[in-house]
Amino acid sequence: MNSILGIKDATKRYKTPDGGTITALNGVSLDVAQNEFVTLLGPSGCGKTTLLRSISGFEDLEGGSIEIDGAAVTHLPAHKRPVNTVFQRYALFPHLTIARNVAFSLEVAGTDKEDTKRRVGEMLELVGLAGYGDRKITQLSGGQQQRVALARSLVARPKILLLDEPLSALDKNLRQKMQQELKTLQEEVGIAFVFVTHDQEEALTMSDRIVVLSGGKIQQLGAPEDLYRRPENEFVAGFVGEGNLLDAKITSVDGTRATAVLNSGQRTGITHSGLAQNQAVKLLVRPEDVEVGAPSNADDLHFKGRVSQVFFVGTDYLVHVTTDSGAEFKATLRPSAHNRTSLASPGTEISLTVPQSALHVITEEKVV
Amino acid sequence: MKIKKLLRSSILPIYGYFFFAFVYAPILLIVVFSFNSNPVNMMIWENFTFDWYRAIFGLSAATTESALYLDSTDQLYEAVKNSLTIALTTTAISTVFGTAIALAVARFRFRLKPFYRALMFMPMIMPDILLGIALLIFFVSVGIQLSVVTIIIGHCTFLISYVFIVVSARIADMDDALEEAAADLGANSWVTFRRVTFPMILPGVIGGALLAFIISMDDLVITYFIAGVDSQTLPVFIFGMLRRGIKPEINAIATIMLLFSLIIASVGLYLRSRK
Amino acid sequence: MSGLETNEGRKKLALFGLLTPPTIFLGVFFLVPLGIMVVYSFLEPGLYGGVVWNFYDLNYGRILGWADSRYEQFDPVYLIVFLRSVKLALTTVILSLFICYPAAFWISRMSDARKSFFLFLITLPFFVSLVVRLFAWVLILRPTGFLNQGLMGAGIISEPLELMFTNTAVVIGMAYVFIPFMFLPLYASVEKLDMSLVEASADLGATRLQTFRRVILPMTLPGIIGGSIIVFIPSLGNFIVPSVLGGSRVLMIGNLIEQQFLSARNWPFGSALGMLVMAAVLVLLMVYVRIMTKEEEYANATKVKEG
Repeated sequence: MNSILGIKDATKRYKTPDGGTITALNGVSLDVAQNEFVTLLGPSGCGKTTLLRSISGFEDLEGGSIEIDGAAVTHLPAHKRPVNTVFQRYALFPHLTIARNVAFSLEVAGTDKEDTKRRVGEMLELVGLAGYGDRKITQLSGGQQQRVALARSLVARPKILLLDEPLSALDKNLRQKMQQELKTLQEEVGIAFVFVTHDQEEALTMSDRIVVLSGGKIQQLGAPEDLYRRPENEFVAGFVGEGNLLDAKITSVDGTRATAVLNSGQRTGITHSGLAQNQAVKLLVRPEDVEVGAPSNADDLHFKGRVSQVFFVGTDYLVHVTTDSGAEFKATLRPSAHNRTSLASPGTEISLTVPQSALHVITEEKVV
Repeated sequence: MKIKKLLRSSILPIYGYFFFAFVYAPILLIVVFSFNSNPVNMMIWENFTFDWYRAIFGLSAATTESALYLDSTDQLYEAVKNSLTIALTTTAISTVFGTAIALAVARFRFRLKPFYRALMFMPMIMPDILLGIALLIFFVSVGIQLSVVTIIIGHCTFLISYVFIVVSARIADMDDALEEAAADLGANSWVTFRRVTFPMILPGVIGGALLAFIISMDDLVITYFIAGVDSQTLPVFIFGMLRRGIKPEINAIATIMLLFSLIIASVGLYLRSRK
Repeated sequence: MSGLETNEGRKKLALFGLLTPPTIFLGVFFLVPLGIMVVYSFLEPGLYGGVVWNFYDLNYGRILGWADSRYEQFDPVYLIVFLRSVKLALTTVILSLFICYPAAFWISRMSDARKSFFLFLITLPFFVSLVVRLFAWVLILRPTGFLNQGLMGAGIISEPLELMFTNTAVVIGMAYVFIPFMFLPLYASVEKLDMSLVEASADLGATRLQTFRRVILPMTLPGIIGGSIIVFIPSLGNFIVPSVLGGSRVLMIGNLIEQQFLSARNWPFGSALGMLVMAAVLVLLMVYVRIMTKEEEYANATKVKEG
């Protein structure tokens, strides 16, 4: 893997006004490849913005190092780094025209006029704003401003493009459209994008890899599907997608095979390395893996209960079930065309099955 | 019922027009009566005349007591010249200093920031007369001759605050991310200032300068204490005339000043509306 | 080696460059003079102007109740002048408040274009010279002035009223001159007033008067207080308006200070009088800050609840 960005052991603390300290980054290490779309995902205050701002040069790290394309930039000021940023509210210069906004980095670098003009034209064309060069920023819609911001930060051919929640100001439809456009654009320009968001759906849609951050630490780093299917800890399981976490205890271990027993007394076989006898674990079940009816396989889990609430969420119904043993359970059920009504209504008795193959074992506690 | 409702809904606008009448009638009165030829009682309309305007421009010494007027005309010119010199110099100095402090307070981190904020706030809450007497005591006890220079210094001490406040408001309106964006796009701090910060705050700087100019032109209290014998300004001159007794020329002078203020105010408000 | 370090150094240099010239200027020509004035107020006045460098508390004594027994008995005349100034300044505040409050409501309900035009009209007089505006009132209030001519012409009065050189004239003059000062803060808080709150109050059964007293008045209080302070401060120490419209009959503390400096040449006593004005302003501001912090705490508390 040809790494364009290498972060090692990045650490940063802030002082709070009341004299305490907040650890924004706690030993974060990350490598990003040449053409990769990497997303930093996490709740607000998790350190994702601090990490992005340390890459762009607006935050000075306390410990650790940052390399861009093999060169150390850890203590280089922002204007000397070969990266550009798309800001959250775009930060377009209101006193300059669109063309002058896009040309800014080239003018500052002293690029000659002809060359600047040509490249600005190319960029505006790339983002679909050819012919808009002489307009004022205030004459643009939110989506168009977004594109100008992209053009402005790409024109100097940065080695990495940093994006700080750039879609959060757009409404939902436009946001989805821009997600696709961003992805296409990234493939077209062929540089690494580091994208910050707190929206897990957005992260799953766009990224090659996702870095889940919480409490200044990387909770998990991996492909979107890995994160969703195989979260390494409770935090990731809870933050990415909806899920049911079932408490279980390991009763016997045989190599990577083990038997777990649930609070309800049900037993099931699981496959996971490094388990020990009597260890407490959690079993993750995604709501869409839950089926209605009795199990066909002995290792499948079976719950009986009563529907407490039903939410229609478009294609599916999200059903909350209280099991006979008192646990809350979430299931996504898809109605069939000829039976839409009787599927589930609050109060209905229901029987649910979780196939053994849908169980994912989480051994780590929630890390915050 | 209907009448009552109508009355209720129109009471506020009717009041509003009275309000503006109260604000503008006195000013209009001056303008109208500056063309009144009655030299004895200015408030009884006689005839339309430009005599008072001619008199202040030294074009006619036609009216009675001409000797006295002629004498004042020279003093008037001197006062206008002093006022302009003082206002222009003061504006330049206080604009530079006020903007500098505003930038420092808004864009840098340092321990004395609260001190500077308080310092800029002080002239706003201090009655003018105090600054006037303090400066008088200072200049006299240090042995500086009262002159145009002392007036300039005096005006700067409080006008820096006015510029500071106007420019600070403009900086506060500006998105911090703009400067980061400039740095991100490769501009060092000087280039960022020249290409982004300064153009962005320029309307505020111009607004502050205009305000400083107008206040300096108009200041009476502080100038009154620190003006030497040879360094009268226009407001001090008119104040003196008012205290000695009223002459019809004051109407004409006041009307010209009015016109002048209106032009400057319009320029300022036009610039602000372009933002 | 680090780039950020040189960046820090450069930043410090820039800060130093920005602050040094104005700091020296204001230190020498603003803070030092104010300091000297404070010192002066504790010095003994010399016989023919000038000062004797002795600590001397009788400047304040003369005002507040203990006189220099060698020369004079305590005379409360200075306190009376001071209290009269406070009274006139307060009357000015109240008058300008009553003039501006309805007007602020009127303008706040206009369409945006009309609003900015009328706001322009309000700010315009601020740019007109103070002496010119005062002069206009001389023309109006003089025995041979506009008002008396009009009233006599209409046959309402047969002899000119004595309007000039009265407390009323001074208060009208100050209120007129300071109208923009009162109007703008008032307008700012009236403009912010959410009309749906007024509707909510009516919806909950409050009469118009109750709505005004319980909703509108408390919501616009910051503007009322702000405007009042901005008008009170320059009114209290004013000597221009009383000397133009009040003549020698309406003496305010400002006139007294002016006399001490420009004719009586008793600078230490004049400084002490000045300190009295400053003390009054500071007390007022302390009360203001108190009220505002409470308001802010209240606002923060509601914010926290919302969060």
